[in-house]
Amino acid sequence: MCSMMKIFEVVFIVAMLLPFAIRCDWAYQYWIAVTALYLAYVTAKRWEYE
Amino acid sequence: MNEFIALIVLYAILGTVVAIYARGGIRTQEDYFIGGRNIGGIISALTYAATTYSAFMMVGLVGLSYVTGVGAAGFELMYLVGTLFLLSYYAPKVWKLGKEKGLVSPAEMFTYRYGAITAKLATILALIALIPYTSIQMIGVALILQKNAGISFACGVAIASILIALWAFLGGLRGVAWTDAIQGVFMLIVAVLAVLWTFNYIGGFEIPKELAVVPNKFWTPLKFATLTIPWFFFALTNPQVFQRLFIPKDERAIKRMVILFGLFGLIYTVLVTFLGLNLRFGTEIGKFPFVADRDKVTPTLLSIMPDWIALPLALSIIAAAVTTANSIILTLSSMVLRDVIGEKAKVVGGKIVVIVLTIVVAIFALKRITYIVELAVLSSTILLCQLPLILGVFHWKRGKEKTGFTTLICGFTAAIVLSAMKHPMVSIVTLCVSFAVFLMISLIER
Repeated sequence: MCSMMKIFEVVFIVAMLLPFAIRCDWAYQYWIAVTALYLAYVTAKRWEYE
Repeated sequence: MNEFIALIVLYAILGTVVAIYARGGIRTQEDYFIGGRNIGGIISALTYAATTYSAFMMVGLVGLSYVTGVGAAGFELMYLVGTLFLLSYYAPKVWKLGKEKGLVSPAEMFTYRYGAITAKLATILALIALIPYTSIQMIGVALILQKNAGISFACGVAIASILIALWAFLGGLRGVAWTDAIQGVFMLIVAVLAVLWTFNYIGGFEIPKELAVVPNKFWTPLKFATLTIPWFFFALTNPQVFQRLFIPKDERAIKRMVILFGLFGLIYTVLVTFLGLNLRFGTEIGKFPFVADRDKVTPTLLSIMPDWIALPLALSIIAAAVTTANSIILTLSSMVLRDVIGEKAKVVGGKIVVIVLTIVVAIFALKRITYIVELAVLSSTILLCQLPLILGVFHWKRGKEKTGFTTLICGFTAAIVLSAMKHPMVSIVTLCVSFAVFLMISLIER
């Protein structure tokens, strides 16, 4: 379960590189959205001590 | 009296009152350097944010967004995502270890695992990396004072030194944390006002086509990776933020610290990059002069703004520099005192080292030695060599004194040599060298 969570989080981090691959003109909004989603995920997830 | 001088005097008095009020009873070095491990989640978050976000944000990142486009936002947000990822796993582990072993200085984690010599060397590397970086913050404060208050640069350095040392001297971590918290909120409010004023002045917002996409001329994938990697691991490798992981009062406070820091970072980064991109749009439509030098974008904006917003914005840049600098000075003091001198009891020793280090930083600032800027830029790359040792504490059972010492020496040498050669992948290669040496020596060492 824990390693699945970590893989999911690594996907988030790799997703930050997507604008370099697809040269979109919405990179700015995309980066803000992914960061906000990740922050929401970190807030909601159970931390190891919980 | 010059309005800006009045504002600075008010700022100094308020900060001093807060530092005296917040310090409480300082009896041990644990109280002085890490607030007795009893700081709440909100204050921990705000001091973490104010320590992390230096004057680079409102000066450097505004200019970087203006000149290079949205890649600057990607770079800063990648740092934030990386920090949240690392902190959500390592902050509770580091906090727990710190409490169990009584760690106060960041390098003490190395003492317990890799021996005292590794901790001493880590302290020396931290001094090499962070004194030039702190002196750049001091130079920034002195230049703002020189421009806005009409005083000499040397006098500006003297005032900056007092602002940086005073609250750490008086209140230790509690004094720094509470003044950081108030200044952090101030930085955020002023950033909102600056964005609103600029948006209204320019009359709209649109990202110019050539700056809306990556890769572009500046933000190639290699450049992005090289710049991002040292910052991605910043939360673990930079001692002034690593030591912040010891200060929350319990595990709930740690989680609150990390989440609120993330929220602060996201809002502040969006505001700052929006400001840079909006100013560039202003240039495209003839409302803001073209500025080729990215470090001059914010000063140009300040010269256009009316005083009611320009003065608080200038003060918020000073606050950003002071909050970063005094946290670094306090952390370096704990490392010098405990890991190099070996004094682990007397609080007065910490106060003396705070003053001595501030004087050293001021001398660097006054001399304006040419390699200061290069070393300041290189600071996070130099500190990358500690990463294998930090991760090794939690995930790798092998490796002792020789591993710790050799990893730091080889990683540091790689960073300096590659930087002198202007190698395009200095941070990536430094990281690879550090990990390779760590693994090899730890497998050999008995």
